[in-house]
Amino acid sequence: MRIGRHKKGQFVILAALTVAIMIVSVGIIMYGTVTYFKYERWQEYLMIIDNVELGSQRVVEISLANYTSTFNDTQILINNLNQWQMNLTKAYPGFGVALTYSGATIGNGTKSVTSQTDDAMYFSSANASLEIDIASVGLTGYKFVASAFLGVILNATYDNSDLVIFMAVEKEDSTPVTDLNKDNISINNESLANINSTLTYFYKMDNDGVLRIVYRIVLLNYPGLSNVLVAVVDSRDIRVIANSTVT
Amino acid sequence: MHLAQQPDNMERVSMIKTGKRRGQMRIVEAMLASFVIIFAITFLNVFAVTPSSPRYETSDLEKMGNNVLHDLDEKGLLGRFVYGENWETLTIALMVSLPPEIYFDLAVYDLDWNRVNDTPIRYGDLEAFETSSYVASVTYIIPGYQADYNPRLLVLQLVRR
Repeated sequence: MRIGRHKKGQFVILAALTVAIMIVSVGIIMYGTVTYFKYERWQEYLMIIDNVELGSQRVVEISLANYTSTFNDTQILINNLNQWQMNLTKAYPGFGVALTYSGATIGNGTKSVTSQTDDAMYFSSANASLEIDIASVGLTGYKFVASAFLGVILNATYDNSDLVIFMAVEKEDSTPVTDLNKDNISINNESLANINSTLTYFYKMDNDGVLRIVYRIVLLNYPGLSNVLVAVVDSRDIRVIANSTVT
Repeated sequence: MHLAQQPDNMERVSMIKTGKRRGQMRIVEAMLASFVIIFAITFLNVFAVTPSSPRYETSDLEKMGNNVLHDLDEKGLLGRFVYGENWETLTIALMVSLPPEIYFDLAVYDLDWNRVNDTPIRYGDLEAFETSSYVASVTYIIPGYQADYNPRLLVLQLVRR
């Protein structure tokens, strides 16, 4: 009986001691974790990654805007990305921020669109795959893609002597460009602002399931054209040139 | 019969006594166990004070400053104001974006750290920046605007009024 009682008493104390040791152990682990995360400037690294990502996107857009001003300099994207790699170190000294890129392409062309009229889309585009390393924290291989795009689907027809142009303009991810005005559009190398014309728009759901904003340009008393050349410049200064046979 | 019952009674008395002792010991054990656990928790609380140092942590001001510049850049306004040298509008945009109790001073530099903005982009007394115990500083880079690659470095300083 006595031995039994002593054993039970020791068990309660032992249990309490075990619980106490567990509490202290968990506390030590939590303390270590919290201080580790506090001493590393995670928030700052995230801010740097965000800023570099947005900046790289801007570099691609700037390069495409520059390229489409003449459609000649195909090296502009690579040159700008090389400079951007070096300039980043000035903004974030001591962090060991390194940016590498691959597959940098820039150009213009056409692609088919499953629209109601099966028209072609004329486009200007640039893109690059980029990777950020932050050596000071051992972060390597944060990958992202930066791309810039401007495309136009064009259709032109005559209504008596008025030339009517239907034009859908979109940027990356098929996002419609909604802020165009007459200053952003030129017809046969002449600004639309200088031509007697009207510019309106309407919405249309295409066969490919994309909701498009269609600009309707009416060039009043503009006869005699069999082919029309339309240039569009968006707010980023990216230009795209499209042409269409007048039906 | 009476004699035979006596030892039985004694045993019962002794059992009652040992039962009481056992009950008392349980209370003592429970108290000891409680003391051990309370001691462990107190010990933990003394040492589990998390350090707080602006040297190591990104302060709220820095986060706020970076977010404001990032948002303006994302909307395409930052490049327009900086490359258009529209300092007054940039000041207003920052004033609108930041809480009124935050003073700021923004400096725009080229890549050689030559100051570009000739007029101050500031809200609040200059004295507040000199006397404040903590001034948050955010560096932000913008690569260019429209077709021109010409990076600018923005240094935004923030203090709480």
